[in-house]
Amino acid sequence: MRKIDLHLHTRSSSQDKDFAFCIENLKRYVADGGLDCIAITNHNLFDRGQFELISSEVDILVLPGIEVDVDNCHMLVISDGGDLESFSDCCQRVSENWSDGERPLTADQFEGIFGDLRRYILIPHYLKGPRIGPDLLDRLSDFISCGEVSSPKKFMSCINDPDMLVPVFFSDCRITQTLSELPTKQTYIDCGEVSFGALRQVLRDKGKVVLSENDGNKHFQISADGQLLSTGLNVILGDRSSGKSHTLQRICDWFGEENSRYIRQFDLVSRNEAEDEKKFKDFLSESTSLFSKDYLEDLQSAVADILEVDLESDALSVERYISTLLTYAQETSRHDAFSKAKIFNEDAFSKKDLTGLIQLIASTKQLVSNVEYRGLIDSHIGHDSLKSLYIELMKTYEGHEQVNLKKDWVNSVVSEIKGKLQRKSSATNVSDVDLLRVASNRRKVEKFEELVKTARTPKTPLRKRKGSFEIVAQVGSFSRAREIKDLSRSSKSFSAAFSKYEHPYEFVQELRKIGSPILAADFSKYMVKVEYKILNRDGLQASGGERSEFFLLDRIEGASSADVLLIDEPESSFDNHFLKSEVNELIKEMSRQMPVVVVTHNNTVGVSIRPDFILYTKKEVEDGEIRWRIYSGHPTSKTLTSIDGLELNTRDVLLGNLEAGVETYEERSAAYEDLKN
Amino acid sequence: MKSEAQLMKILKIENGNGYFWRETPGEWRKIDEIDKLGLLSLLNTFLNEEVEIDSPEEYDIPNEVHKIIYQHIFGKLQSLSDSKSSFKDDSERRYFEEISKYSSA
Repeated sequence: MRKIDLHLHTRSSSQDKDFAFCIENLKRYVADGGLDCIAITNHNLFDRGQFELISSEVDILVLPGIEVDVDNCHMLVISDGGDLESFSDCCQRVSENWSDGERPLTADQFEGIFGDLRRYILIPHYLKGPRIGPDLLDRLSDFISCGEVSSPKKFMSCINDPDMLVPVFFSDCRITQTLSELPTKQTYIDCGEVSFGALRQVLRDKGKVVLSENDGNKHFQISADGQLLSTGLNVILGDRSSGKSHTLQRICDWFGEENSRYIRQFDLVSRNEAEDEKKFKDFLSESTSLFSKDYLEDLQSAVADILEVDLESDALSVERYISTLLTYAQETSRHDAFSKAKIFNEDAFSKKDLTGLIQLIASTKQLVSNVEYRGLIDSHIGHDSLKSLYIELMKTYEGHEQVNLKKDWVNSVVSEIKGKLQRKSSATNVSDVDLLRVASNRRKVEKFEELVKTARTPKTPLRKRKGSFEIVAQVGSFSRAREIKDLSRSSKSFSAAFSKYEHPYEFVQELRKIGSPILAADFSKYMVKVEYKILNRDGLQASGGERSEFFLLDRIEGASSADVLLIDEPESSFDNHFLKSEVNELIKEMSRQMPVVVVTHNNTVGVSIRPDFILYTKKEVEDGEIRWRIYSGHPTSKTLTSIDGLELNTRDVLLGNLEAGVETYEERSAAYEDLKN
Repeated sequence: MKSEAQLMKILKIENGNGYFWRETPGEWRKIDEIDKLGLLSLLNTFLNEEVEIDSPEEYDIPNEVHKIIYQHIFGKLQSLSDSKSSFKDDSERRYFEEISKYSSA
């Protein structure tokens, strides 16, 4: 196995904090880290002089490279170093482009600068930000075989998914003067002598890249002294003050706080009832708001539609029309030559609404052009008939559209003449009214009220199990104004609005009158009550203790988005039955997709969970000095081993730590045996 | 389809006067007594049912006031004839998918 790190920074750039490179630290990294090949990849620059210095000082293969900003992703371009001058020229063009406004290269510019991409190893940020987009990946797919990832979990995802690139895991480290702890993020490759050509071959093969030197992808290195961690389930054991929590924190730091899901000891247990209640309510309110937004989305668009309707103004326009018509008819004595002209009272043409026809044309077009179900369609309607239907519909549309355009023209002429006649005449003008609009608005309101009534019909649109809990969302009507007020979290009064609750159109109008902060975009949530509840196995609302259990399951499950799950002594807050029946299985499941580390004293968690790797922390005093050691190994191996080669008996460690020693364990077993007899 | 004989009449001309059908309480009223509710009721019936309307072209309306009002309202309703079917289609389609979604959820 060869160890490589093809992503190292040795020059500060505009994308880094200022730092001073230190060749001694690079040499220390290469030697102590046991590296076989490195690449120098600074942001949008290549310092040929520095590269030549590094090559002469370091006695492993050092490849020249550059980390280029292209199309909003970072791309490592690594050369074989054969023609350093030409590579340096290309990088110079990248630098010049970058210094002009710090804009990433386009894919065209990138290809233009580097020319024949087959000469390089290209490694984009893949499961690591800023990551390569699908378009660029597709375009460069002939030249890209591997992608950089940011964690062992992502490395494993690539390994397990045949559609993903070969993963590589590198340090992306700045070799500064102050570098103390050496990087531990590298990739092992299965090849003989490392050369540029061999690398290019190996990085195309998922079977030849691994996270650890001897254990394939089962382990990865977590600290510079060589301590390993399993990519599956790790359990940390140890006496009080032996360094368990410290170790867990170091693991958290290695992944980065933002990438870790760290469930600390007592984290989920409240100190008091009120705090617990508030936390639970906040959780429910957040979950409700997410679900409710989704559930009410269609209702909300109908609300937006109905807000355009003004029945009051429609009624006024009808009233105005009737009253002016009656007055006009009765004032025959005031009719003059102007008012007697037919056009004086001519109404505007109403234009034909072609929406239905447009939809029909689109559907027919789909029938004509559909490939997937061609045979089925043809067996019912001949293709020629469909085509002629399509043509006829188009012609009809064209005809209607022409008439509409003509009506437009006539309307504008009539309106102009009418205006002139009305200004000259002393007769009353008959006010115009769009009866179709009036009728369709009324119908719209009727349908809207039907819609709201349907949406308010009591039902349970969501049922989801989490362990023995059930999450349900229930829908219904509000029964008091107070409920709506609480939901709005405002001090505004909802009494007037609620009196119209049974008449959704009027209710919307009343909500509108309340004004800010009650926004129209949220009206739907005041129309239908959506409640989110956590029920226990008996179908009742979860109690205080059960809530904490639910939160633990929720936090563990929510870890999927993180790179590592860390749990510190879950037994301090939960009983064995719950841990065994619900938590262990879930933890096990999570450990199939990401590294999980659990600190425990408890045999239910420590042994019954069947971990993949045990780490035993121990404080030892040697020659008057305190030494902190970690003994680790597989739970079935006879011994656990420390980095400096010391060994402990695994059975002694497990019994001593989880069962309070061999003697106590045997006493307890005997007691159980007696009870059984 | 109703035969013509069964069609509901909503505007009629009789003895030189114009009348409109007032659904509630269900009686004919003189056209000059029409108000906004009367017109909305006519509109509703016109768009939802097959109706019959006496044309002012075919009957003489000596009462000038009736003639003006009748002709006006007749013209208004006639202009909606073309839109009757699309109005029905639109009404059927309105919030159809949304109502189905909330019925089934």
